[in-house]
Amino acid sequence: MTGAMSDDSQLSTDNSPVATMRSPSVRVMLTAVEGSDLGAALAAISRQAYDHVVDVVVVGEPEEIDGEVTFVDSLESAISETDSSIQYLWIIHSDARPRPDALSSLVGEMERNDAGLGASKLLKAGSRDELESIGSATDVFGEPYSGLDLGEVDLQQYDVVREVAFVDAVSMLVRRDLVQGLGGIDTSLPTGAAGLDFSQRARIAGGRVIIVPSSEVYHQGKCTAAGRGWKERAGRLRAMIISYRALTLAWVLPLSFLVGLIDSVLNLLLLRWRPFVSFLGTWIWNVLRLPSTLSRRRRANSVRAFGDEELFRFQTSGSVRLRRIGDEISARTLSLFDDDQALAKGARRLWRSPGIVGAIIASAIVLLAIRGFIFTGIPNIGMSFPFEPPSFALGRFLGGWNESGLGSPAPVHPASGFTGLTSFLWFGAEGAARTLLTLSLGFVAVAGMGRLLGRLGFRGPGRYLAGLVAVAGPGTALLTGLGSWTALAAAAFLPWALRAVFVHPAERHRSRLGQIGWALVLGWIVAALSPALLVVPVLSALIWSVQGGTRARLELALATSVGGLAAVSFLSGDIGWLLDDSRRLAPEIGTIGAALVLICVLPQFIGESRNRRTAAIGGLLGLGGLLIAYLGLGGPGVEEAALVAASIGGAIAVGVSLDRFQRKIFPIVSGLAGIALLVISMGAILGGNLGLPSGDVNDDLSFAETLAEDGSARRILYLSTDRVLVPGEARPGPGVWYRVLDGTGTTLDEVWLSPERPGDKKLAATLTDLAGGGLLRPGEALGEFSIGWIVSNGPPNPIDTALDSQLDIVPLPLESVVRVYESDGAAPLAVTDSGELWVKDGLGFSGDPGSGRLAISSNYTTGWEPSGGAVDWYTSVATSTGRATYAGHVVNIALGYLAIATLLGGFALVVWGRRST
Amino acid sequence: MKWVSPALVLLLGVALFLAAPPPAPQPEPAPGATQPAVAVCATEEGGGRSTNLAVTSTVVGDGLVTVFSGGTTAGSGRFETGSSGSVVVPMGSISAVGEAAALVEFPTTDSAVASVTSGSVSVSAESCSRIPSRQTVVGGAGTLEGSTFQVQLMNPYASEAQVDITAFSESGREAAEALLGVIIPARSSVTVDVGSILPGRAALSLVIDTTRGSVVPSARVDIEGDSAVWRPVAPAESWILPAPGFSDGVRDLVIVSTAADDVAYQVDVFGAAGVEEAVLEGIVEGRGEQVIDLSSLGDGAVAARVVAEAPIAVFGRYAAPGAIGLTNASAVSGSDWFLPGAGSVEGGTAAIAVVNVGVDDASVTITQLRGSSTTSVISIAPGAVFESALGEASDGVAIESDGDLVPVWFMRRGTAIALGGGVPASNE
Repeated sequence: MTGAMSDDSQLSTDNSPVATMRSPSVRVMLTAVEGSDLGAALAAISRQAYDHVVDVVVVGEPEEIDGEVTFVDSLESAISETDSSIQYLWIIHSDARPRPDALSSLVGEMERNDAGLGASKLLKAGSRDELESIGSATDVFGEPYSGLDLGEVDLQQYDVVREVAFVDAVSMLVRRDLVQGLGGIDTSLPTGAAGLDFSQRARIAGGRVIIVPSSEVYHQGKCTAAGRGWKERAGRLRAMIISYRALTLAWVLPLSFLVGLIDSVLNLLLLRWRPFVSFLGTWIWNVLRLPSTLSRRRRANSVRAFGDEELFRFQTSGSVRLRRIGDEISARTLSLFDDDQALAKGARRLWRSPGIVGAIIASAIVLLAIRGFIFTGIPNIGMSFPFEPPSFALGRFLGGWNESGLGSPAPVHPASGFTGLTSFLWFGAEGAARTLLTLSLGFVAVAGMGRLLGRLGFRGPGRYLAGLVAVAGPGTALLTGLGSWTALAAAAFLPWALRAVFVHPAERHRSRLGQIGWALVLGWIVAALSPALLVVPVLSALIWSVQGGTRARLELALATSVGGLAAVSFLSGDIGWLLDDSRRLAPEIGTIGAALVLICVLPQFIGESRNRRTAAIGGLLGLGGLLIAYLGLGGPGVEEAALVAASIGGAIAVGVSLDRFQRKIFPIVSGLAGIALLVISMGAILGGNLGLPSGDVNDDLSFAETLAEDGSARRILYLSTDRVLVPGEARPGPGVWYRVLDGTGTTLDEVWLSPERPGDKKLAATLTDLAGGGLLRPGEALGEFSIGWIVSNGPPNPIDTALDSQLDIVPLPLESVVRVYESDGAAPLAVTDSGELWVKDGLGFSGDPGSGRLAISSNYTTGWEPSGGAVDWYTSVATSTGRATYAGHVVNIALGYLAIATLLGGFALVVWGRRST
Repeated sequence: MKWVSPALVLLLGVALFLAAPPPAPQPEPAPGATQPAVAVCATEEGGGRSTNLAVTSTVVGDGLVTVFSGGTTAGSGRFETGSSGSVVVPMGSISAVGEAAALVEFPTTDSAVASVTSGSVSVSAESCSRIPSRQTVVGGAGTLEGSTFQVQLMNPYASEAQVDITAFSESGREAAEALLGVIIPARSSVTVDVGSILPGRAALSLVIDTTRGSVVPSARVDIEGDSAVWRPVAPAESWILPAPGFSDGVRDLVIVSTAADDVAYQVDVFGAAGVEEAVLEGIVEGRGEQVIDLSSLGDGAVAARVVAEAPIAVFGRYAAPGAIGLTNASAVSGSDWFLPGAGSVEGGTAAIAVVNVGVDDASVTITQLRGSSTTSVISIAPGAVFESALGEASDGVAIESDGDLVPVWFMRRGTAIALGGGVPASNE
């Protein structure tokens, strides 16, 4: 068709049968690709069976070519210099070999479909019709997704003219007016990215982008070799910045960064470093090229006819990159025991489920967040301390002696019952039980939130990611930051208790007994960890029902409340834990979390009913919880529950806002707030201990046991001006917060202090005397409380000052951040009137039988045997049996057994319910 | 119903932003410093000198004297205040360990003790410190040839202590590394010989900063056989010093400033004519010392009140050939006072001087404390200074009044003289 390059040839076509309907004029622009045969390319073009090719120009350095060819140095100049009589430009690479009908097919389909840009089907040259490109969809980050399998052969299975997100720039026909209006193709980009960029700009300018499979081009691929790697990715990012509106960029760019980072990290785990370098290169290149990008963006916007919705129409959901790396990781993992790849194929399907992707990402983050537990163990600090052996913990739960502070008959916190049972089930190994339980809490929360929101009808990735907010949201993070293990555990189990209150329509056939059983068991666990939280399931059910929802079951909510029997004994002995606002921890509550929850939920109220109801629960729990804690209403128990509820509310809000991507302003705003809340929450836990502070107070204070000359470790008086620095609950003293700790190590049951008894009051008076400088021999005065050590943490305090001017407490030169003082005159915890030491034995003491009395440095109450009595404030028993034991109050014992029976009853209902189902 | 939930959510959000949180729970306020029923005294046994501890109290009861030295207890002994509420405890009966320190535990907080040390030609006396201060100042002494100037740093407590001593002289601030970071081990005292570190200074003032633990300092100067012991004091802006008549030598008012800048002061004079305000006005140079001749303010017993615009320390110094006596002025005035040790030195004569700084006549009961105490009642006009010789020997003097007083006592034996300040009997 060499003649076609002359006017003569055009004239010759006038004699054709379609002369009266002249074919559109086309100018061919052959882009020279290094290493390709330009002559062969020109020959292939000359063979085109199209009658109205005006001319052929070669873009590139002039070279010796047979025949008359025009060379131009750049595509831009070639495009801009094209005469307005030309209707189409065929831009084709010199490493492409079009079939003779390629151009006519392109022109025909472009005309028929009124398209602005059309591209040929690309087949790999030298292969047996292996498909290279049939146009692509992309994800929102510009990552192409062709749907082609590797090595897929063209069996005309895709031979349908259709609109696509973008086409490769190897062979494309574009309307002359469109390409001139858009300023041509960005030649600084590799082929793929250039195609994406041009396709997107064409689309928002009103041009349809189609793939024309009947136009087949064999592609040698010499141009793509140079365009792989980071520059291709950088080009896609540039294409996004040019095409998307500002609002879209506001969330796409941060997410794109996050996706790139996660992809890079996961690739690093697979020992591939290039993606990380590519990630860095992509962003650095774009920052450096930002001025030119913005210039092109302005030009694209000047001819914009459509919004970003037009681009979104041809995009796949989720992230292609994350899906790809997820596929690979699961395939690699499963290939260890999946020879036939059945599981791997299943896993690939799994990765296409947004919910599962969310769960896997959330689990990966949890895994990062618990690395500290794995490498350095569970911290013993703040309010997180080791479990007691199950027999001790359950003994205390069933009315046994409470050893916190100077001892008390008041029942211990019900967490002792939960930890005791957990340790018992873990074969009595309380350390292992604690480790496993703590390690699992993050996963329990993620799974719980996912299942809860799933039951409420949500299926998106946000429902599992919301689990991170449950354990690290605006409320829980404050408590875990203070070391509250029970708050962390409560936040993990509360979503399950909430879930137990709702019934999905598909689950209505299930046994009601089983549902009640689960509600009871989960309510029991939540009550054991944070008693006041039990109002949350009831409240949530009410909110749902009031708004016309039918999934909430009030009877199930009430069943969770019955689980509150776990805490009745504790609360009856220390109601101040709920009511005394002077005991609250009063962490500083910021307003950012509240603002984000508000922004998250408010737009949801204009959505569908499911969203409205769930957002109402999230908003009311989140903001109500924060408000209660902010206003300091109630004691530490209410404060703890309010903050945990706030996080659960925040988590629900995040789950709803990130459920589905909707291209509307309000859902986008809600989603952005959800992402912000999620990111802030992740920041709270990525320290490695799931938000708990690191450290080991028991280890720091081990000197008390090591230096005990008679083998009986004395108590430690721990004080600080900063309440946070005192392990467990602290009492207000003269210018300091203080508490008494067990010299052999603190356990979880000792975290909360019981109401003051005579010994505690006397100790408080002694400390006031000491702080005023009125005690010349404070060691002697503190000796009766068996306080052998004073540990002062934080800034100097009045007690420190007083200890400078006294006679019988000496500072120890320990290498420690705390100041340690030793008193020689401290009485042993249990000593007979003849001076013999008795040792701790279970929850009591034992020693050699005798005829005298044993002084126990614990608050006296009836129940100490044998022949218990009070001497001043402390306990005295007869030594006749060689054992000193405490028999708890019958009501406390009964309540303890009732609590255990309730739990067992719940499990029985679960089993029964399953059988009946 | 549809809009109830969002309205409630919005309401909660608005409440969160508008509501003010209650204050976070705080620990109880630290109690004010309690006056401990103890005092720390510098003691000396040997070299021809011996110390008596003169205890005065409002009650009949027993107490304990513990001599500590070298990190341990060198000896201890109980005492009982007799029917007069007073007793003199010879240190030789408890422990003879040279220069040491003693912790005196009283039967009640309303007690006082003075350390009275006498030799063949020397006598010194000073009331003992009750509460250690973080910073104290001492002035009035020098290190010219023929005189020794020492500071005894006493730490009777269980914790090690450390002090930095900053010295100022007529040359300005002295660079003396040896005075910095002085460690005083627990239950020990350390004597710093300032004269050997900074010899040849005519006027030295020291600022003693306790950087760790607690330390009770005591200053001592020896000149021509006599010695004087006096207490470093915490700086204050107002001081009162009654000055008994002294015609055999010079009596000076020494004003010490530790401030970097000049400090303006005013001296009000109390005497027979009542109070005369602003008799003298002047400026103490920054970190300097100002000496005022008390005799120039009036003959016989007078009293001076020094009021400055910044904290200063004021001392009274009596000197004559073979005699030196120093005491600190009082930063407080009160109705009831102890003058422990007044009249307790055998073979000497003693007198007290009392100034009424109030605006009304004061009815004053003066009791010489001994086995059979004697009491006299006098009236002191406002602004007047009352001076009275003490008759027979006594353990000390107790003063009760309905006015606002400041007392001091003075004694001489041969050429030796001693000055002793009063101790308020209560915190009223």
